[in-house]
This record gives sequence, C-alpha cells and structure tokens, in this order.
Amino acid sequence: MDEEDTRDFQQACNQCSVINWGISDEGKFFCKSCHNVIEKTADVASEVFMQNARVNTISKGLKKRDKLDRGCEWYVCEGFQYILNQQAKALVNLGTSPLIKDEILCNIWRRYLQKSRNAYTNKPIDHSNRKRTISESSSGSSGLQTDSDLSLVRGWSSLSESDPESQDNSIQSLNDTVVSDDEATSIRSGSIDGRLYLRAACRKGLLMSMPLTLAFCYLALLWLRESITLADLLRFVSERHVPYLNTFQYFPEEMKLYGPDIHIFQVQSIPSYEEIQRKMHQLAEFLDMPRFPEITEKCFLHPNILCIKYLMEANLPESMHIWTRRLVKKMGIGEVDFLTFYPLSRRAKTIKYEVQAVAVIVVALKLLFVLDDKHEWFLSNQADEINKQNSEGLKLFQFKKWYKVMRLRLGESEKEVEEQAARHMWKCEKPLFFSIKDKSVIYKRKRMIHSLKKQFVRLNSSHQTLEKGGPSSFRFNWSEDNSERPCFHGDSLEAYEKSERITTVNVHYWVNCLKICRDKYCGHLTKPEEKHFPGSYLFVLNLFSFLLGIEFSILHQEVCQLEHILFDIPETLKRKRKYK
Amino acid sequence: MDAEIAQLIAEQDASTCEESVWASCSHPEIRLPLPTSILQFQNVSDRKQTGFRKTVQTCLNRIQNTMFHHQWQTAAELMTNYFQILEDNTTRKQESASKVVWRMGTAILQHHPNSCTEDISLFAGKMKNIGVKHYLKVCLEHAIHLLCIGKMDEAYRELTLAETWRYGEKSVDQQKVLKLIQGYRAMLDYYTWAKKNGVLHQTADDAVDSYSTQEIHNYFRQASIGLHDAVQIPGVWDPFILSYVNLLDFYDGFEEALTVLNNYAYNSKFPPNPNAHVYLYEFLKRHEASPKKLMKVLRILYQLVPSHELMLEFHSLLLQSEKKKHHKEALGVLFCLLDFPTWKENDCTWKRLMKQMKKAIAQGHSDWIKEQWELRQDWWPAFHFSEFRAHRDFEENESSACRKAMIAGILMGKGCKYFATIYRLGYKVQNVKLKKMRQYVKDHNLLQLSAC
Repeated sequence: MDEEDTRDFQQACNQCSVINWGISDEGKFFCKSCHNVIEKTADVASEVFMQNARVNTISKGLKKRDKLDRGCEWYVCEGFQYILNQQAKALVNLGTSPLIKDEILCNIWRRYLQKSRNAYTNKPIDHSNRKRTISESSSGSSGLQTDSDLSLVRGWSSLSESDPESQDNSIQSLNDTVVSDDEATSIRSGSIDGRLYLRAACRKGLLMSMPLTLAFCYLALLWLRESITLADLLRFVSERHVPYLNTFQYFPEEMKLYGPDIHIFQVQSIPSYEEIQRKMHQLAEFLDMPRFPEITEKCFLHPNILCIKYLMEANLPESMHIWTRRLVKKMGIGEVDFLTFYPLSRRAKTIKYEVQAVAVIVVALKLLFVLDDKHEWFLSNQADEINKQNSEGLKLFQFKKWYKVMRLRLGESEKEVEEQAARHMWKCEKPLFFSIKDKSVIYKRKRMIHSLKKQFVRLNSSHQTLEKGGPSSFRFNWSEDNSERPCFHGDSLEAYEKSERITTVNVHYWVNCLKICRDKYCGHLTKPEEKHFPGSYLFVLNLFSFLLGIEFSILHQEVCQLEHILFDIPETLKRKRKYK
Repeated sequence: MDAEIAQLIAEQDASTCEESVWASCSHPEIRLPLPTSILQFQNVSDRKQTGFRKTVQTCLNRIQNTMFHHQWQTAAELMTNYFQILEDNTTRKQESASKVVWRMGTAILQHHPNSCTEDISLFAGKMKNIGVKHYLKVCLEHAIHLLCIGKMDEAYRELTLAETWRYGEKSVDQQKVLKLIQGYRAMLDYYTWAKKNGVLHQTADDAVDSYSTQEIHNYFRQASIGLHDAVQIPGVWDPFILSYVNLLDFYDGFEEALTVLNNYAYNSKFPPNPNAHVYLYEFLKRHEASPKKLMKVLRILYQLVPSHELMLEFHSLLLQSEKKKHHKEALGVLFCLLDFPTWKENDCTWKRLMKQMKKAIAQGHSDWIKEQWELRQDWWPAFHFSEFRAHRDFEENESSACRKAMIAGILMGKGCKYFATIYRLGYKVQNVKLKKMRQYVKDHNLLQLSAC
C-alpha cells in the first residue's frame, strides 16, 4: 500500500539522500531510513477530507485539457512559426549558413508579425474571441520589450537562442503560457483563431499561408545570397528534403488540428516557381525590406557562375562559358544594380536568376548552332570531318552527338521523375477531421487504408525500396571516363567562333518571338505555339526546363526577353515602321 | 554532299529574305527573319489541378498500363501508392475512387502470383466496408469468383450474408443486384437439391428416412421461391429458368412450369431470346405435346434463328403433317438452312433437300422450288456450286457430290458448272448412275419447266 502511493514520488530525502518513502498514519510522507517527515502528504482516496493535499500533488498535465482531447490552445501563426522553424532547420542541414534560422528568418518573421499586427504591437488585430491571459514570462529571457502577446515573444526568444535544447522547449513553453479560460473557443477549430483566419483574408496585409512559408525561405536565402536557388528550393520541397507537405503532423502533441485549421495547413500541391516568386515580392514589399545585399560577380546567383553550373549539368563544353560571359556583359544583366533586389525601389523587379542564366545558355547555343533544324546538323557533320582529319588534340564539339546523349538521358530522367510522381504520397499518417462527427469515420477509413496498404505490401515480398539519393543541386552528373554517357565538357568550340562580335557570329540567327502585344499597348510578348518551334530548339528548352523543374513557357519567355535586350528589338521594329 | 546542303540552306534563306526584317544601322550585319507561323496568339488555359490529384491520376494511368501489360507485381506496388485517393477531400471522388480501387485491386489480386484466395476474400471484405454503396455488388462478384474456383459453400455463405444486409434505403440499382443475389443463392439451393435428390434416388427406397426427405424439400422450397422472384424481372435468365423448370417439373408442377416458360418466351418485356423458345419446345416435347403446338413454337424460333439446329426437327415435323402448305414450308426451311455457312457441308440437309425436291417434282410442285430458287439464284451458284467446290466435294465424298450435282442440275440445268464438273469427274467410275441422273436433270430442270 505504502509502496504504491510513494512510488511516484522520486525525490531524494534532503537529509539522507535516499529514496525510501513511507506514509505515516496522518498521511504524511516520511523517510524510512532517517525518519525525516516532510511537508508532502499522500493523495489517498479520502479527497473529501484532504482537498488541500490533493491540490498540492496535481500533475502538470491535467491543466486545461478539455473532454474532447483538443490539446492546448494555440494560434495559427504559432503553427506557421513552427513550420518555418522546421524549414529553417532543414535548410541548415542542406548546408546553408546557420544564420538563416536565428538571424535572418527569425527577424523576417518578427517583422512580419509586427507588420501584420500579430505581435510586437500596441494594437493587435482583434480576433473577436481572442482572449488571452498574459502570463508572466517565466524564462524572462525576452529581450523585446513589448507589452502584448508575450507568449509569442517568448517563443521566439528561445528560438533565437541557438541552443537546441531551448529550441524544443520553445513551443512547449509557448503552449503552456497560452492559457485561456474562455470556454467559448472550444468549438470546431483546434487553434483559437483558425475559424476566423480565412474569413479575415479580406483584411489588409498579407495572410500567412503555406506557400508563403516558402516565400519566407526564399527571401531569407536571397538575403544571405545562398547557393540554393528557388528552383532548387522547390525541388528539395518536392523531394521532401525541406518540410512542406504535412508539416503539421510534427506539431507538438498539444497542438491539435481540427476543422478550418486543416484548410490552412494541409497542402494539396507544391506551388509553382512563379507563384513563390510573386509571393516573395509581395512579402518583401509588405515588410518594407531594405535593399538586399549586393550580388556581385563572386556570388552564386551571378549569371556567370550560374551559367557554369548549368553548362556542367547540361554536359556542354566549358569553353561555351566565354560566350555566355560575353552575352551577359553585352546585355548588361551581370551588373550589381540589375541583379540586386530592392523591393522598395520604383522599378523593383524580381529576377529569376537561374532561369535567366539558362536563357543565356540557350541564346549562346542559338548563336553558335542556330537551332533551326538545319544548321546544327550541317555544322555537326562538318565538325565530324574535322575531327576525323585531326584525330589528336582537342575534339570539336558536335551538336549531333550531344543531342543524342542528352535526349537519351532526358528521356530516362523524365521517366524516373514520372515514376516518382506517381508514387508521391500526399496524405499524412495522422487522421484529420473537420468535425467531431466525422471522427470515427475518418479513423476507420485511415485504419482501412493502412490495412489495405499492408496487404499489398505483403504481396510484394521481394520489396525493392527505391534508393533515394541525398539532396543535390545537380540532377545530372557527367564524368570523363564513362563510355556510355560521354562527357563533352572538354570539347572545343573553335571552329564555330567565326567572329569576335556577338552580332556577327552567325548570320543565320533567328529570333523566335518578336511580336509585342498591341492590345492597349501592354507590351507583353505573345506566346507562340510550341509546335511551330524548330525541333532542336524545342529540345533545348525542354531539357533546361526539366533541369530547373519549371514550365517550358517561362524559359521561352526569358529567352525572348534576353533577345530583346541583345538585339534591341523594340528599337529595330520602330525604325522599320518608320522606314515603311 | 555537305556543300550541297549548304547551298540549299543558303537558297532557302534567300527566299525568305523578303519576309525578314532587316536590322537597322545599329546592327547592320544581322537580319532577323520573322517566321509568321509562330506568332499566333495562344490562349494559355491553366486549369488548376492540385498536385495530389495529378499524382493520383498519373498513378492510375500507370496501374492501368501495367495491368494491360499483365505486370501484376508492378501494379500491386503502385496500388499501395494509389490507396491515398480514398482520402480525397470530396466525398464524390471518394466514392468513385472506392469503386476503381475495388475493381483494380480484385483484378490484381486474382492474377498476382503471390496472392491466395484468402487475400481476395480479405480484400473483398475491406471493400465492402469502404464503399458501402457497392456492398452488394462486391458481395455478388466475390461470390461468383468463389463459384469459379469451386468453393460452393463459401459462395453460398457470402450470398446469404449479402441477402440479409440492411443499410438505409436501397437504390434502384441495388434492388436489381439484390434480386440477382437472391437468384444466385436460389441457384445454389437448387444445385444442392439436385445433388441430394440424385443420391436419394440411388439409395434403396426403404433406406430413405423422413428427415432427409424433409431436408430436400426445404431446399426445394428455398430454391423455388428465390428462382420464382428472380425470373420475374425482365432479362436473360437461361440457367435460372432451366433449374426452376426442372424443380417444378420434378414436383409435378407442369402447368406452373409451362406458364413460366411461356412468360419467358412470349413476354414482350423480356429481351428476344431464342433459348426461351428452345426451352419451351424441349419442355413440350418432353411432355409429349401435340405436333401442332410444337410446330407453333418452332415456327417462332425459325423466324428468330433460321439456322438453328432444331430446324431439322421442325422440317421433319412439317413433313409428318398431311397439309401441302406444311410441305411447302418444309422446303423453305431447308433452303434457309443452306443459306448459312455452318450448314454448307451438312450432308443430311442436302439429302433431305434432294428427297423433297424429287417429291415436289413428282407431285407437280416445281413452282415451290422455283419460288425458293428465285430468291437465291444470284448468289447460290457462287456460294454452293462453284467449280472449285465441285472438285473438293467430289474428292471428299463422291455420292454426296453427285447428290449435290443433281440439285444443281435441277436448279440450273445440266449446263451448269457444278453439274458439268461432277459429271465429267464421275463419268468413268459410275457411268450408269450418272447417265440416269443426267437424263433426270434433262427432263426436270427448272429451265425446262419454265420453257414449257
């Protein structure tokens, strides 16, 4: 009897440091070895008589849990904070500077909270049933002196400390402090403001959403001038190296998702390149971000460096880099002012760094090989003969050979990607339900699906798990000594370089998109139809858009824009019109 | 060669010169041709589809593809990824998905080398739970699968369970399936009844106790009730009808069985079904009905399926009759039979035709033959009486070839190819017989008749 009651009390006696407690007749704890009686009393069944004693021993976990097992109360932005935290950790794991988490992303997030009047403000947004006991901050480590939403501040203060221990505790403590005695909130949504969140979309400012978390990440990466481009980021997301899908299932136990929360946190698709780009711009504007750190020639995001990367990846000769450099210089897209993001300037513009670099390569290929389904083959035949004549020395690059190798490789990879896409799992293990009514149905369905899966998995006894490689910013790798997949990095381009001047290198150069929409003089380029493109140009675009994981048309548009700059086409057209 | 290509290219470029825009003074060297074809406006219609749906769709396509190529292993693997569709956010999608999962999953399990019967039963059980709307269908198909692999008892259990299933109001579709289930269950009852009854008859009379008779009667009752209900619904119920009629017949329910069969054959709500008439005819024949009745049934069958093998019986029935009208009809039946390739080389039919034609000629009814022949004279010569056929027929069977030649001779005169060929081939062997035949043909062919 005694043993049962004292088992839970594992504190050593402060006189003899032995854990050997007994309970006296009066219900008091005493040490069996030194007979020291302490203040603690046993919580035996006689609650009626010993209510005081009962209160003393109540455990922490019983606090503020309602019957529906809804967990603790939390706010939507806390959920996003948690997700951002996870994403930042993942990015650090991928090799970005650790600063990203505690300095950059944290500050951007704070700024967002302030701007969107979620925290750090005297006038917090008024959720209709937002009541919150502002409890005393027990950790007291908050360096930010604002008087509302201390809990959030506390969450972040610990997040900004680079101590992983406190990291994990942050949400815990955050939840502990978010204690509300408002029973009215116990309906439908798990979070306190989830129900009103989407309805509040019309209010000013930028509403936090799942795609916006990626915009945050991208903004932070851009600020740090990290070597992860947006295309890379999105690929890591789809390959699960950066958490995005079903991040909520890693929420702490106490943060439960119900009803409207699901709409907010559940992800049905991975956002497109353009969407994130646009969101990032909006976000930067919303946050009044200052001019970003300059992107100089040494930075990864500079077209020259990106060009090298993509030349390598596309298995093109290194000497093409001379041409891309020339083009970059000629078009003026390598200048610091052009590349640096300055959201508040009037003609602020987000640059698709990697798309632009790839477009430069495409233009260079067009300059050298024309890509009109005639010249490139003709030139390849010529090159073949030249190579035969001088079998020693540098090989001349042959477009034909390259095309064959790359088409094969592209086909394989596309198949692989499709295979993976078909096997992509979107739903999480954790059952989600919109209302308590559905609960049993959803649980049942989950169990059913689980058992179905088990049955079919068992069927394939010889299960071969697809080996998932580590994260890499390269899709293709080419090495010199592989006869099946020859590498063209070392080939020369000498014979094609007939002229030093870019504009004269190839008289057959064609411009694929000159028409500018004349409707109300909007100035947009019209999109030509895919099927009318020359085959080899189409292939090159397909190859690069596959490498970047973007849509074909985005790349084509970028190429057109570069051509406009390169040949000053608006000017040309104007003159021509005059001439007529 | 290459130089030629270069020349060609240069020429082509020159021809497009007129359309091209010449860059102005700033870049005098480069010219910018404008391919007009690619400058069409394009409406970009980006229908938003979530990544989840896209994934599921590609997965489905791949599974169907692998199933089509009988790669069951891969299909099963992909199925594990496809189950997530059951968690789609819209209920409509979920429902349609459960059907797809059920169909594909069953097919995969039935063909997968590693799966066993238990797997299929387990899967069916799960599917009943997930897609409640398809509960009855799953039951029925599973039962049929069990029947296919010879597990009668399990199938019976499955069907009885499904019969007693209650879940809200049943849709029209479900009602139909339920009837089917009842029908199949009754079928199995009948099966058991037939088996036990057979055993009972084999054992000696005095060994039969009242208990087993009672038991057998129970089966009879269950089966007859179920079958009775099932065959009321318009449709094709061939095996059910047969069983039901057998049951009734056994317990002396002649009248009842007859109504059932009559209803099955003549009710206009039922789809036209030749078998219905066949069953009716067989039933009547078994009970020795009058030839008039039999003829009536067969006449309808004759209209539905002139090439049915019962037509020979119909022919003999007609011949047995005294009436001339019937004899004329019988000739028509034979001609009709020979219209079909399946009867083309049937000796018996030709023999009968020969016999009847001779009889008709003897009785002075050559016009009957003429009437039939006129309908066919443009295609029968090529169909039956070609020279090639004559050679082949003669090689296979001389006497039947001769018979056929005689018919050909009567129909088309002795000059026709078939007759001439057979005559030439057979002259050396059967001199006398053929000469006789020739004479007969000479006197009685249709041309002769029309001439006089």
